[in-house]
Amino acid sequence: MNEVATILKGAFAIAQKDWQTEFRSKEILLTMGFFGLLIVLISAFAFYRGDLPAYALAAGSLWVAIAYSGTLGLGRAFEREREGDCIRALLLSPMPRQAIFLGKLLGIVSFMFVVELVVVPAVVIFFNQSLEFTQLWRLGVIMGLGTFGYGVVGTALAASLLRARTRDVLLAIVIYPVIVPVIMGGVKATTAILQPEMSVSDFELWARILFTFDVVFIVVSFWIFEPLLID
Amino acid sequence: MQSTKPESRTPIGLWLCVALSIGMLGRGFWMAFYYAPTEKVMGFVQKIFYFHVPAAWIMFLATFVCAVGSIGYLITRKDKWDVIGDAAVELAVLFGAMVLITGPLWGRKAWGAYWVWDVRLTSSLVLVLTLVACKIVRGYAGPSSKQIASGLAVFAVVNSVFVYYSVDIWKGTHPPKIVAKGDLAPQMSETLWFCVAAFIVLFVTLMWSRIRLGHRRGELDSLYHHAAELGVES
Amino acid sequence: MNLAAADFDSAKAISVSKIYGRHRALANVSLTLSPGKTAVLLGPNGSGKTTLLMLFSTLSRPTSGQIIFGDAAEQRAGDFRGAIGLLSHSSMTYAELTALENLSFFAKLYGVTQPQSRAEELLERFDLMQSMTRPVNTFSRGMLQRLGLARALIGSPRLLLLDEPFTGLDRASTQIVMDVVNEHKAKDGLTLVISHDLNVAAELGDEFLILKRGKQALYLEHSVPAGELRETYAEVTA
Repeated sequence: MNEVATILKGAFAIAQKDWQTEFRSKEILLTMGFFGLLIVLISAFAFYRGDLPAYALAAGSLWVAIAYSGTLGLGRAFEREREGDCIRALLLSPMPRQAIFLGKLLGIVSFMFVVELVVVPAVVIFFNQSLEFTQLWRLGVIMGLGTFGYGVVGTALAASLLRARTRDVLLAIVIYPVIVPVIMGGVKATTAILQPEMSVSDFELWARILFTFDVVFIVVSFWIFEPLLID
Repeated sequence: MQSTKPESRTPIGLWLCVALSIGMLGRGFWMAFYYAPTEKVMGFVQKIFYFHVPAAWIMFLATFVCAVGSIGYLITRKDKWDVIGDAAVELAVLFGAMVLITGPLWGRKAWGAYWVWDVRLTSSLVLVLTLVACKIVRGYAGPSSKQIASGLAVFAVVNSVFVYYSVDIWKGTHPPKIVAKGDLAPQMSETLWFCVAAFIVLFVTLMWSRIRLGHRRGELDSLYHHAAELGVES
Repeated sequence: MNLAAADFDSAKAISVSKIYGRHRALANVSLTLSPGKTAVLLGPNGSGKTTLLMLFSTLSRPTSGQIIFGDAAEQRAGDFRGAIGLLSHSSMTYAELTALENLSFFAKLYGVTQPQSRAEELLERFDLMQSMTRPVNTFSRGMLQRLGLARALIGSPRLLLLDEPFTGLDRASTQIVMDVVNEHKAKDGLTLVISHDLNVAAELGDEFLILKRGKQALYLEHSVPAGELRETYAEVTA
């Protein structure tokens, strides 16, 4: 129990450090948020046709925006650890590696949530959706599960690429195939929520799949994280 | 400097495997095209099935071996595990490519379109893409690429299960799956199993050669060290 | 499990080698660090000094050979990290945070019970109190180095590893670093320093290991005057 407490405290300290840094510069939030908005716009232009249901487009462009802006944020969050070689300082400390993983995970997921606070309303507005409360809280659940799944995979992979060359391009290449289930689940569930007759059963089905994905991948990532990082 | 170590000469066993592979593949082709009767509904194109199914099974076998090699490398950091993982990735991509080419060819006839997001083909596609990403990482990531590729391979394997079930549910209606093992005329069954055996022998042959290549590369690195030791500039 | 490190009174590299792909950075090097003695690593660029230092820091593992701390039968790197402090070429601090925030953060990571006061204590020691609320990206080289050293000492380490700590420092900062090393020595700490400056090395060092192309070229187990060190070094690395 003691060990878990240490890991959680360490993770929180690391996440807090990320929030502090971000609060100073706001660089990641601004770039991610703006990029996310732009992706929504581009998707609207790229895919809009009069006869396609707007709610399907809305779901699709929402998750594409999350996927792309998330990769941007991940890259930047870990770049900060690279500058000044801070990742070494983290690895030098007696803090267990899982704490580093959890801490960075908390950081990136919270950044993505903040960005989603901007992107979701944008999607709702651009695609003329209207949200009742029953839809809203369900959407929140899906965003939570999906963002967390994306964060778990992304944090593990971005950390592994920390010392690699051409890491920005490589991050995109390695992340997208693995998060296919998250995108599928996210889009399907969002569509189920937004469509004229909300399908609660579809929402629950995909929410369960996303939840399972999150659980499985956090276990795998916890195990894999340390071997990925040490030299 | 001639290496006189016994392993540097191709072992008899490997030659035998090569011969056996060629022989069995040859017979497999013959059985598929001449021995097995032509299926009523699909016609000639159905015969792709005798290569598509074994290729898919070997792709999964190779992926499993890759996972074992990757986990072994992450735990022990011994290169011999990474050699296995690397060899298996390449073969998984190779057989995966076979699956992804033969599948749509069959699908065009069966479903009227090359790509209908069939569950198995789609999950094979995502798996192959992830494994190709592993190879790219090995090539471009620099010093830590073995670790990264191993970690990614583990993710790929776990992910393939999710992709399979997700696509299955995603499709909604149950799409026609490629005709499975039941309801086959005996000659068709025989042909299929023979082709599976032939592909297994082919897989073993290719893995063996590829692992030998991997070990050669390791030996080359040692030679570079020795050269550096002797003061030879590289 | 808590973050307090298992203590140790010696650190040994036993026949360690480190290979990166085709490059052998270190070949069969051995070195024992003892309490109250400062060991200095010397050698031309690329001779493996930083690699050896990194092995002692547990940041990387030897390809062959072992790094052993104390005489515990079970050696798990994680147990000893809390008692190891490393100062490398980069300060390993977060540029956008202030000196105080940086040190408090690292104090938390080392399980220090009162992180903020420990941070302030070190800032005082290293003459950084005036700048403690300024973000680190406004610091001069000397200040960064002092901050990095403060970070290395945050967990009151037993083993102090310094990678060319004097490069680019003015006299005042150089003196601070020297004082820290001597204090650490007086407290029976283990010290390993890499230095290009042979004068400083001679002043600090109680034993010297000269590396050349990853191999041990010469080991001197006593201190030597600067002139003799220069001559010996020139001979060995010719």
